[in-house]
Amino acid sequence: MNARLTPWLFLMPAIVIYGIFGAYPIFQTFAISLTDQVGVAAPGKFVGLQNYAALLHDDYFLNSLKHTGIWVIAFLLVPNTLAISIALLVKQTFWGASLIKTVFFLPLALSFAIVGVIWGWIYEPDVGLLDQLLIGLGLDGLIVEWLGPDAANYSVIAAAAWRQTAFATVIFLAGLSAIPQELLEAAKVDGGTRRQIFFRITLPLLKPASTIAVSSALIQALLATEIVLTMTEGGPFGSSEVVGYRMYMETFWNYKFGYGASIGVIVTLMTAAFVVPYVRRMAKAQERDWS
Amino acid sequence: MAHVTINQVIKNYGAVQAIKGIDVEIEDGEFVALVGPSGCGKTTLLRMIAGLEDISGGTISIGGKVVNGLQPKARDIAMVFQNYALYPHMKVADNMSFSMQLAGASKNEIKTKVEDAARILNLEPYLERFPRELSGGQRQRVAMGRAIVRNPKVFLFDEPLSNLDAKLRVSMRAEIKSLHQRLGTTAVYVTHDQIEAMTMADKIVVMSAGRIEQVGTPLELYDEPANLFVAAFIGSPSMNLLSAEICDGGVRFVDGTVLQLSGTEVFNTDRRVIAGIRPDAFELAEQGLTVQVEVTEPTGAETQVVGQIGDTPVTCLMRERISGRYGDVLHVLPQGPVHLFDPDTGLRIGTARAVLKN
Ligand SMILES: Nc1ncnc2c1ncn2[C@@H]1O[C@H](COP(=O)(O)OP(=O)(O)OP(=O)(O)O)[C@@H](O)[C@H]1O
Ligand SMILES: [Mg+2]
Repeated sequence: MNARLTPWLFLMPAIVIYGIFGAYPIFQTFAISLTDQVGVAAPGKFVGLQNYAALLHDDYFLNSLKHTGIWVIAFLLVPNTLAISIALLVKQTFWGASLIKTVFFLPLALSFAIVGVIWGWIYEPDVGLLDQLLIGLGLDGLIVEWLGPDAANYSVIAAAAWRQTAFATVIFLAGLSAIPQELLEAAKVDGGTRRQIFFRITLPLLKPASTIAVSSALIQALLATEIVLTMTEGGPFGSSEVVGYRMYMETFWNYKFGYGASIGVIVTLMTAAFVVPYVRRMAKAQERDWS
Repeated sequence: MAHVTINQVIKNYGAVQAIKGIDVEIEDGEFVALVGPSGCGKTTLLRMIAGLEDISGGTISIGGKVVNGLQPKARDIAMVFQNYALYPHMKVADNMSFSMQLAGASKNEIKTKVEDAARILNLEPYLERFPRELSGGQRQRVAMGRAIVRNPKVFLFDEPLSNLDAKLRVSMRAEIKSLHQRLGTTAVYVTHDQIEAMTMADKIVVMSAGRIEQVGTPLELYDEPANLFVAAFIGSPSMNLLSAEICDGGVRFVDGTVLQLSGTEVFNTDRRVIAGIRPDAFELAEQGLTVQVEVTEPTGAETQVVGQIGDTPVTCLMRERISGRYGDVLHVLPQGPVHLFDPDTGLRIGTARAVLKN
């Protein structure tokens, strides 16, 4: 068999599957975004980049873009730092470690949509778990209207972060157990304090895990939609709208398929712009450290 | 540099006692090997010296100071791990200087020390490489470099050569030994390879099942093993151990052969003993112990004969070139020392010598 052809033959199934389920829909979305298509009945006419130009002046979209920005920042920081801390803690407590692992794994069995429903109840004014808890602790002063216009975006993020933390914890736990104990001992003998060992040995060697955790956080934050749908429907007054939600609304509520597709393309580009360079850099480091 | 005193040290893992009360005195600058079969507690003892394992009982002191409660970093020791434990994300130079970086040493000081160590270990061309870009032997040297750079009071080695191929092991063995002689730092070296211990150490501690069997120089252990365990463990091939009993002027083996020995007079006749004879002590004789040959293995310089005396498997190293086959019979007599052990306690009760006839 032709030696130059062989690798491509092996790649063929993956390329075909990626083509059908990955590349083609992306291309199709881009094609639709250049039209004024409404609904699915008939293709629209070509309008060039008009949809994109319109987005720049669409206050609804810009508002949602701002909220998505907050999602990204919060998602990068909160679930990942929490998850690393929890993973380190769980790693040290040998008792019931597997029980704790199960507890942290559980939220992963729930989709973001369900998480939204559950946290919707938790945030319920007065009777919700959160308010009840605060009242019980005598901290009524801290109570706000969780899903009101001021807090809604943050409350939704917190709910989603809960699930994301569970995911990242599982990933970091696996990452921690991949670090040979001997390395940490060598660092101890070399005179490292716990802090120094964490920042100079453990954290750098967690790169494979952080690559997954960070890129997942980025993707989940940029694409967040279902949880917004089930918790707030973007409200009140658009205070929790995110780009994914805008895309959904424009497409399936206003039937502006062309316009919705242009938002989709922008979300895809943002994801690629953030995630691809990051994963590439990390993959390089990983190849260096783990072979 | 420092002397290390291990005093009545005990290690319990739950209900299991891994170290059962050990005393060792390690002199300043001495190279001490801990040897023993797998699971006897060598690593555990070494890790207790390093501070990586709690001490359940007794004390360990380094340089006259009890270190039981001290963290590894406060003990001023350096350790070379079995799998090297190099930091994969750091270049060789950083691996070697990590401890100095942590201690806040100046860039210049670090550079000088690293270059010194690299020169000693022939690592100069590799300083900018990552560990994965090195061969096993080079990684091993980096691990040693990391230890040297720190200029510690004590070096601790845990089977540092066990991952290398046989040839490299021999050359690294010599390298470590000459390094020790150059630096003069106290070293504790764990190995289950008695040849490594014999060739490198000033003093060997033979352990078994959490206890010390014997402490001594390599030749003391070889010439005067305290008991059957040490006798069988030290020396390769192992000492032959044959049942016998004291008779007038020597010992009588199970097959009735009488061996004339000097030095057995002090024992009561008919006392049962185990006679320990090194493989190289045997020489061919007109008559003597009858060896049923199983195989002969010529190595050029000598011939190793594997066979049986009675029901006991034996190995003889002969200077002659013998081409025996399965079923052949040889007659041999020991010319070297014959160690006598008490069959019940296993202790050596004396060493006799063959009376040379003719
Ligand atoms: N963390 C532990 N928990 C329980 N038992 C242990 C632990 N570590 C070691 N042991 C036991 O202590 C004994 C001594 O172990 P150690 O590792 O010191 O042996 P070793 O002499 O180094 O053996 P090897 O030559 O195989 O490395 C063994 O019986 C082992 O099973
Ligand atoms: Mg060991």
